[in-house]
Amino acid sequence: MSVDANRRKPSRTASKPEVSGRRLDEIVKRAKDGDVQAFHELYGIFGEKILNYVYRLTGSREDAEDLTQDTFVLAFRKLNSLKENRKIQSWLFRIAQNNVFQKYRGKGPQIESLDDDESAELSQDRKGVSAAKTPEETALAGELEEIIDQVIQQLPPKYREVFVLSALHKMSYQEISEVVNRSLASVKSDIHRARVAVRDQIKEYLGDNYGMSQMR
Amino acid sequence: MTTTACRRCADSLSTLLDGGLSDSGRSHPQHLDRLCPDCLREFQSFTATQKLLDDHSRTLQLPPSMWQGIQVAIDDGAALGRQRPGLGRFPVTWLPLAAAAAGLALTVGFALYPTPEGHPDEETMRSYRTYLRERNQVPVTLLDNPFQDVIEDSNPFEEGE
Repeated sequence: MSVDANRRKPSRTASKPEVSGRRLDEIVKRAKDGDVQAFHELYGIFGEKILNYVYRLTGSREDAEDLTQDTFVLAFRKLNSLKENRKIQSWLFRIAQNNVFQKYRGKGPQIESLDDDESAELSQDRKGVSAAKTPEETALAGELEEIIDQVIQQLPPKYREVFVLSALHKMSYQEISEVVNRSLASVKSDIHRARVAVRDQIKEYLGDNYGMSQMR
Repeated sequence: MTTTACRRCADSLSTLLDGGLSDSGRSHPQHLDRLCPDCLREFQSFTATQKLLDDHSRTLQLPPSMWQGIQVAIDDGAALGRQRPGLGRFPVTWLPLAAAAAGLALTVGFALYPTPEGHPDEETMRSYRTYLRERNQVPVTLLDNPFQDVIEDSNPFEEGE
């Protein structure tokens, strides 16, 4: 088996084109000078990632949209406090995470599943991403999305945040450690535990289907 | 949670899936792939899980209205800064200002209208005058001091004549 073939394949969550370090640095500098157009570019690069991260933490699309908007408004106001421009992504994720913690302080997020309209809308998005599918395949894909949503939402918050950053956003341990403000060892260990839990849960749902027969 | 037959390998596999192993570390799981069927299955199961997540995890898209909301908030903040050039950099909180105003009002009030001890009202003064009048009507007689003679006649520190 080729090991490299399995490493860091871009997911749909991380499907935005990557911006080079120098270019990103330049955009952040302009945004720091109050250039709203430059900040719009940053929003274009990181907005969807932040939205999906917050969605995974809250389980609510509405809250995720509100909190993402708050995150970018706060980021614009505090941008000059960012010391290293290249750490803009970790910095934005951290602001987003703090916003989530503040909103849900003392109570867990209300996990809700998307209603039919939202699921249909997302299915439309999916159609744009993948090749044309039969109605059965579309229904099956929607079912898999639901299962993955449930499995991720069932993880304890401590595991969920690092797992989402690692498995869905493809962040390095170092970046994740900066976002969640925990040691590398703790991050690594929690990701592994979450990975095992997710695999076992998915296997429980799917049995031997979808290549899960390899699972023990 | 499933336990693994080869603990060291399981940890390495997880790291490998995250792309965090050095070149020397990568040889370890590859080596085990050949030697240890359990660890190979473990690796394949993680890979299959990750593929499922990559292919089927739900992805929300940014609503077009979100940037408009952000822009309005940014513009409002900028306008607020322009209106108050001195204070524009600091958020205005009305609570401390209100507290300071209330404190000032109380200080001024106490200065203009002091307590009854300084300037008692008429009823208090009338009561006070009645008390003085009644007190003066009581005869005061000093009692004789029973030790007067002793004190005068027997001072041990005075020499006798």
